[in-house]
Amino acid sequence: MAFELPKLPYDLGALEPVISRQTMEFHYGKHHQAYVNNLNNLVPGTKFENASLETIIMEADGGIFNNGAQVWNHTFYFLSLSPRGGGEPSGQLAERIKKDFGSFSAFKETFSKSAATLFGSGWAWLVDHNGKLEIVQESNAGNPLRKGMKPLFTIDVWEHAYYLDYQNRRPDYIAKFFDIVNWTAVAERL
Amino acid sequence: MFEPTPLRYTPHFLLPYLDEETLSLHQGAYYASCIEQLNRSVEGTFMKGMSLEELLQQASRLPDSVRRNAGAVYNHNLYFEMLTSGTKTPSPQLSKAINSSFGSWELFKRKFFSMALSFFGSGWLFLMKEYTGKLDVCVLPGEDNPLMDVAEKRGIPLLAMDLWEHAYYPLYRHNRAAYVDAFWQLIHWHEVSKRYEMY
Repeated sequence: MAFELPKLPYDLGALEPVISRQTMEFHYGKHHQAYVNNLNNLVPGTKFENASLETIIMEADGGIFNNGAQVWNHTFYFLSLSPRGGGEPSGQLAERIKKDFGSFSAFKETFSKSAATLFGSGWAWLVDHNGKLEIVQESNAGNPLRKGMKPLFTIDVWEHAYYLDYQNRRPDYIAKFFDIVNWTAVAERL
Repeated sequence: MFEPTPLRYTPHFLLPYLDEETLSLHQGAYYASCIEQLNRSVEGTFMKGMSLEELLQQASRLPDSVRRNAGAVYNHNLYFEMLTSGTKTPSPQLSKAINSSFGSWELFKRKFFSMALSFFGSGWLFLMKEYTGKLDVCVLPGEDNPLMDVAEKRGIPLLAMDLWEHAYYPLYRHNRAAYVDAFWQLIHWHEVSKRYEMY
């Protein structure tokens, strides 16, 4: 079955002013869609023809890995966001963040620094690594599943994610990004 | 202290291939910030006072921040220098070297485009002169450069095409292919030829 672009539970303009409609139209409508299309063009006739994205992430290399992982990463990113997001997590997620980072603000600071210092294109991730929450950086299409970690939350720091709205000011994008994080959706991944 | 090299042209000179917004963000904001960061990273260290070339040649033993920013400054200097809406023909010497290194101008162009379009992530494409004198096209990730001792392909870069999204995003968005076409139209073959003959 062909891979498809997921539907988003919000309008493309709903994340304004943090992320503009224009950015969403290109990021979701062009980049994410292109990864889906590329993947559908690459897998026929390979052992990944009927594979899940997770299998592709764990086992593929080259173009199939890059496009498959980018489809997964973008879906995961867009589904972590909400126009009614922001604030702080509650419940078990809040407790685990406190246990492993000391406080939500300490977590936020470390995560932001990780996202800001990632060199080039890539993603910063909050993961569950053998029961402990950690923050990791991945370049390009990298995904922590490949290292046996469970992804909980991510920020896309490819320039296409923020250049129209923030130009070269990546730290401003990261700071504003916290206003649209859907912590309820993130907590469901625990 | 490293200083930004001013553009030899006004930003609208490169229209319609590159527009003023894309260029002024690229040169005025991005490149300027690499210069600032490089100056900050070498301040008070043994690296202060070294030229960009000296820094690149020993990249393997330098801190990441210096490797990245020295690479970025060198690459952007070369990138902006080799853009024009004027002269478009390589010298007879450079044409001859392209023919003997790639087989023909068409084969060179094909390699240039296919490497630029298949590269994934942030990096640069170079036309370079290997130390044997042969020309080749290579892509390197991040802000790496063929002068660096860590580069998998080493030699003198003659031409650099920025493949980071910031180089084309305001004008071309996701369409890297359109940017590569535009860049091809802007190459200052007269300056590239001079550089080829100089090294």
